[in-house]
Amino acid sequence: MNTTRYGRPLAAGLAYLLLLAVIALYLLPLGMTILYSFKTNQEMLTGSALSLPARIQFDNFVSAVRKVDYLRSVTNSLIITVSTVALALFLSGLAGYGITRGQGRQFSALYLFFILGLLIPYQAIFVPTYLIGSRYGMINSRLGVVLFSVAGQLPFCVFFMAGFVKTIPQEIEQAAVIDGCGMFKTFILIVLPLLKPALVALSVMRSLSVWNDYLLPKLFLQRKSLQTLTVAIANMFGQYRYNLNVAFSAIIISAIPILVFYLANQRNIEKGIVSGAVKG
Amino acid sequence: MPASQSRLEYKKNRMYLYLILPSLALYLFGVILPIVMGFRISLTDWNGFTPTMNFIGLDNYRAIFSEGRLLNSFVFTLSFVAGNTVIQNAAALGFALLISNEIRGRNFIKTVIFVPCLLSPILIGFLWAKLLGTVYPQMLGERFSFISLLSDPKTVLAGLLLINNWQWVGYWMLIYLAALQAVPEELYESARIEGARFWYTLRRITIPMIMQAITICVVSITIGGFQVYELIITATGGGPGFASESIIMYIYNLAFSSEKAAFASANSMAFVLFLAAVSMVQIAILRKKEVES
Repeated sequence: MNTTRYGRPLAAGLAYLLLLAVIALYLLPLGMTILYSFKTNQEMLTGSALSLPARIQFDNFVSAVRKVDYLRSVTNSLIITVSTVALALFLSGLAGYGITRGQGRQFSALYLFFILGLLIPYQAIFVPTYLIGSRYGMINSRLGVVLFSVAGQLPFCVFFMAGFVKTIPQEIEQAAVIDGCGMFKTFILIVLPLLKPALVALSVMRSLSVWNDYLLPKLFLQRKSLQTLTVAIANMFGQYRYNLNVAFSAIIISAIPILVFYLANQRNIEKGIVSGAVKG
Repeated sequence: MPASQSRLEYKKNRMYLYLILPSLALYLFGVILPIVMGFRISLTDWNGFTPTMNFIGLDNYRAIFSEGRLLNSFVFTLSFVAGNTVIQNAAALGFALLISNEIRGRNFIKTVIFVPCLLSPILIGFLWAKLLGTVYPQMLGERFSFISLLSDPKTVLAGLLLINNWQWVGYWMLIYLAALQAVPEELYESARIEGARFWYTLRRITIPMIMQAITICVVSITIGGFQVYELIITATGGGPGFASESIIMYIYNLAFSSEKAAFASANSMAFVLFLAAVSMVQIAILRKKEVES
């Protein structure tokens, strides 16, 4: 990668300065968040913004954990995220394969039908979604949230998987069929392993959006014991007025699961983002 | 073709159909059915709570254009989208160009700029509301109180644009980075040999070569901008007053606070159609540019 695409050293210097400013813009909020999360209520009232706390104490974090019912809300988020992504992958994998391999106009019509869903933001249909949910007793049911979540994910997932299946040459499957494999066996033994990179990229990206989802869990899961982390923390922010130190520590503990997930999957996340865009 | 072969194909097609069926069923139930229902509701005067529902035809749709608060949220959302699309694309591309050079700490910078997009807008909105409203003013003193962008109706848009871009620039930067890397070195080489300067190279070589990425980013950022909601909930709650009420927030409040479910549905339908139209126009324009380069 060549280093002097811009040619002039002056431009390079300016670029460095800009980058420095950008780093400050990003690291300053982080720094302040961490700083405040360790201040005691006393220090909040008496000290200035930049004053360091007397000692490191985790009272604020304990408060925050209790306020958002951390263990329970994280568990709820986890259950919903894992179930949604697993089901979405399974359904869209099969559908993507069927749509791509099927011959005939009905299959391209079905593909188009799914793609149309990409234009519809689910926030625009949340009123009828809530109605349907309550009519069929899906309110306060994590299963209900999962089903509607998966439905909303299907357009993109089917689009993504179909695009990927198209890149798999059919000769391999045909060879397997000649060797005597039924369609099911072919799918499991040959196609599935080839689909793995797509499944991994897709699962990682969808996990992020399902975990952070607010509207659907908020509408459906009204009982406090069922709330996801995102909803719980939004509720806490709604009530909390001025104790920034606890609020900031709540931000930190909410960010931890995602950050852990990111560190474990960094490569796949980046690959997923890029490939998801290129397919368009 | 012998009859048995086309029958085999027919059987295979049937099996492929079976694979698609579960997804189709769930999609119909979870997406299509709500749309249809939403449309039916939008033709009534239902308020969302009492069982009375009377058919009133297109009255709701006619009312949309005379409703003040809708106009307000529409103007706000439109301004937000305009600013957001321009800023986010320019900044993402700019950062990508900067970082595509080999600078020390390149990966660190990339990560730092990227990570905010992983967090929920709920967290980010709240964080920045407090930073701009409380922490920074305290830090900087009286003279810099203007930094509290979110409490003044005139600057709340700027404040929200700042926050939203802070969160998302890293995401699109990754895409532009990948697109930039795909541009063949030789093009830059020959341009430099012929004495091309920075802006010229940018305009004539870089941008045409990454047109596909630009299309995707511009369209996605626009659609995302129109759907802004969660960020605003915790950043300003739609305020001050209704100065920062986005379309989705307006519709939500209609349905649940103002008890006007049918009207909310009509607005939703109109909004979906509007979004679809905007997307298609954008794609058409940008695709043409793609082909030209």
